[in-house]
Amino acid sequence: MAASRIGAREARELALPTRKPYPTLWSSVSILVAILVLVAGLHVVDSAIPGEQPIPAGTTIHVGPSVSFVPAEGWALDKSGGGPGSLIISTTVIKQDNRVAVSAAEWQGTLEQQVERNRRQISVSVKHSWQSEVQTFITGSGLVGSTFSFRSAKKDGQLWIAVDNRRELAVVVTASGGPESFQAARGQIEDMVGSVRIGAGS
Amino acid sequence: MSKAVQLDRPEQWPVGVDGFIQPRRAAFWVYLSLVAVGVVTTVSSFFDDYRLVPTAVFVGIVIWVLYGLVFLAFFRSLDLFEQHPPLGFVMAFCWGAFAATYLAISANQSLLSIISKLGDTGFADEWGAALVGPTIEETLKLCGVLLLILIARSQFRTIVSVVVVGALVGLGFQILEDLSYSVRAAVQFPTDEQITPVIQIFFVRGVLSGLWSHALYTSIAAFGIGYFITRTYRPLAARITVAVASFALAWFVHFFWNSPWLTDLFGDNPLGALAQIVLRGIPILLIGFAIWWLAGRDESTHLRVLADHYVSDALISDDERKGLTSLRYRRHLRKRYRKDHGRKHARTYRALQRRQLRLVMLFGQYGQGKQTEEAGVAVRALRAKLPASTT
Repeated sequence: MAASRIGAREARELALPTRKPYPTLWSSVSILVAILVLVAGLHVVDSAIPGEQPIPAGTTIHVGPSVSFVPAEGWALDKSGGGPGSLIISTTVIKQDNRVAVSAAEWQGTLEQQVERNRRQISVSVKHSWQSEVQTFITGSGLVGSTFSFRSAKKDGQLWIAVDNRRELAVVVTASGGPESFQAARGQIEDMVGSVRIGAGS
Repeated sequence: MSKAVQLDRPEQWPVGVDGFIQPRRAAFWVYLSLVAVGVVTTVSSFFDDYRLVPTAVFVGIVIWVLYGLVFLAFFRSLDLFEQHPPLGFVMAFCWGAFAATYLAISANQSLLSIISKLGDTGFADEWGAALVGPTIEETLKLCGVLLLILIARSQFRTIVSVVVVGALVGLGFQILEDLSYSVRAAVQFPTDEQITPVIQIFFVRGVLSGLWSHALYTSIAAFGIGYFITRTYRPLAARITVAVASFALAWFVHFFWNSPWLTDLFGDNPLGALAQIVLRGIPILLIGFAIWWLAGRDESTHLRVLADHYVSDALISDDERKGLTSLRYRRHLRKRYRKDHGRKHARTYRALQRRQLRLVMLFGQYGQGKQTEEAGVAVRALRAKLPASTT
């Protein structure tokens, strides 16, 4: 068992640790700075890069293979927030602080169930918000569904929800913005809702 | 036992290792504050999810906690938990689960958004996860490993002691990420059914992909840190090279897994998807295995030297000494023991092996002293419960 002589390697392995104090301030600060650069720094860079892509007037935008809409004049495509991993296909257009997101997702339930899901999502994602009663809407192109609006201290918004049972598809248009600018843009937003087509092909 | 060699150590500092509660060290407070914010953010986020899909959140937590326990049982079967006190592993897991995940959510979104803005249409969809995941997540997880080393530097005497902490950080990250994917799948599922999406995600991310995921990536990256801090006698450039190369390797395997490579190789069908997962996963698993093997070899040398120097044959026999340095031989001894003496005694023998390992590690931490005397008594007590033929 016991070795009477030991080599350098053994001596290193046998060297006992000591509870000697050592400074960690600068190393810890360096790690904290690295984390801040990664989290806050990337956020600052992202904010500094414009994410709006102008849309020529009259352009039809396709949201997945079955849904399309025509953005109103002066609205731009929001290129931020892309990426994989979502079951919902969505495209967002923006103008000032207003946003209109058109999303399409597989849906095997009823319109009422989809509306209920969206109401729950809004109550969770928009804190302290008030929601209107659900009403029926019908667009000029024949799209029929349900709509409700919501309001919070900083944000007004409205959702238009339609379900195509044959295609097992739910289309949700979510429009939101600052209380004043949202009301000012309402006409254009409703025009965009009116332009939504299901089964338009890509 | 030889005392002929006077080991070189400064006598003014007490021999031993620090615990993981170190209020006098800045690293402890950096760690604690980031984990605390992460806990609050994560709990708040899951509370919101609970309002949307309560069943999915509940079932998800149960399933992924059980899944995590399976991993922990596997680590325990490899005797990895003898490396540190339980608090060290809890802190590693918490960093991965709470600090790294919540920090990664924000950073991932920002980097993905930058790529979306600067890249061509569809580039972010195709390559975003491959570029963002490893860059942000591997860095944040490794920051946790570094903070834990700063908190209790003397705990980390071998490469395995660092690699296992990396694995726990990665496991924490993996479990929380899988849970959040399960909940998101339930929120987006095409019906109001909440259990099916959780089961689906468990099958894909847990069963099919769990082995070659974050626990493995972070242990690969941690290998380099382990090498850097334990090989102080090597040239600095070599240590830095190994540390950087290990991180690069962890980055690459994560990138490889997230990348769209091989996606179209087997067609769009369940069997093709399964083949693709295996074809991606096996090389990652082999790389991870090689890293753990290297770390294990280093650990074996350490244990052998300590056992030969300090421990008498009455505490650890020649055969058991061999088992200390080889997991396979340790298992072989247990099997042989079960065959000769039955299952009950084999369990006691397993406990004896763990006590012996702990004893050797205590010698490495404290040398001869009170701790090792007590550990020696525990070994003798277990030995006394076994038939005499084992010694």
